[in-house]
Amino acid sequence: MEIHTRRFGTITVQDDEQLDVPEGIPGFRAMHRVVLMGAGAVPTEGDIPDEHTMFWMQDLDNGDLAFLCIVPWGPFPGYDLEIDEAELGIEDEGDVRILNLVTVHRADNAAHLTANLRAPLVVDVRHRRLHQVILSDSRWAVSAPFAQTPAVR
Amino acid sequence: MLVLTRRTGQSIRVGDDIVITVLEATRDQVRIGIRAPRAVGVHREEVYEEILVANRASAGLGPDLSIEIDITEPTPGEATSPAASHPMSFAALPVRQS
Repeated sequence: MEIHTRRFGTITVQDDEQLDVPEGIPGFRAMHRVVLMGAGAVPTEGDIPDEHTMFWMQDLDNGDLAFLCIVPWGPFPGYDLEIDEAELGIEDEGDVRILNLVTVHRADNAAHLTANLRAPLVVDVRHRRLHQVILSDSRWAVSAPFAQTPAVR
Repeated sequence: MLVLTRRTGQSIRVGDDIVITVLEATRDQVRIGIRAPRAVGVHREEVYEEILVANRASAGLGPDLSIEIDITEPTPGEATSPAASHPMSFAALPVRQS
């Protein structure tokens, strides 16, 4: 399918690249189909990884809606979340991938990036589904800082 | 708002399959048990509200709407040009390294 997006222009999405979001996510209950777009790597001072660790989660039914998210394991190596796989209909632990929504806070001409560790996006690669889960473990912050970068308009 | 008085151990049923039970009550705290279907999310209100606000901010609906950020790219030139950005196979998402 072809969809028009504000951020990426017109994109072509194959069926097997779509993720269903059965429940939507808080604040966006109407978002039921998304696709991930590569967004490069988390800004770091060290080596640049050769795979994407940041993604845009683009709503397929609302071209204006896209969320930046990260793979958490690089910036948050101690992130040991517990998920109830059965509750989400996940058959095998190995089917799970985790992403966290990023918020960009602007201050002093820089963009400060924080990740929502409290409510991770849980991707079930077998069923091509995505859920946002609110963890009961209050160790994980809703706005955990992990990078800052010059803001570019 | 419907207001009901319950004693410890008594319950309230919401719809067919949600039961809320008062487990313990002290001067300024009440312990509540909730039995609900798996599909029904049950959260502390302030936590849910915080997630809601964070999601909206993350979608660019917050005060930082106009920000574009400069992201380090694994392949030079790929991610800056919107046209070059393309859907990813999510099966390729990194698994947690242990």
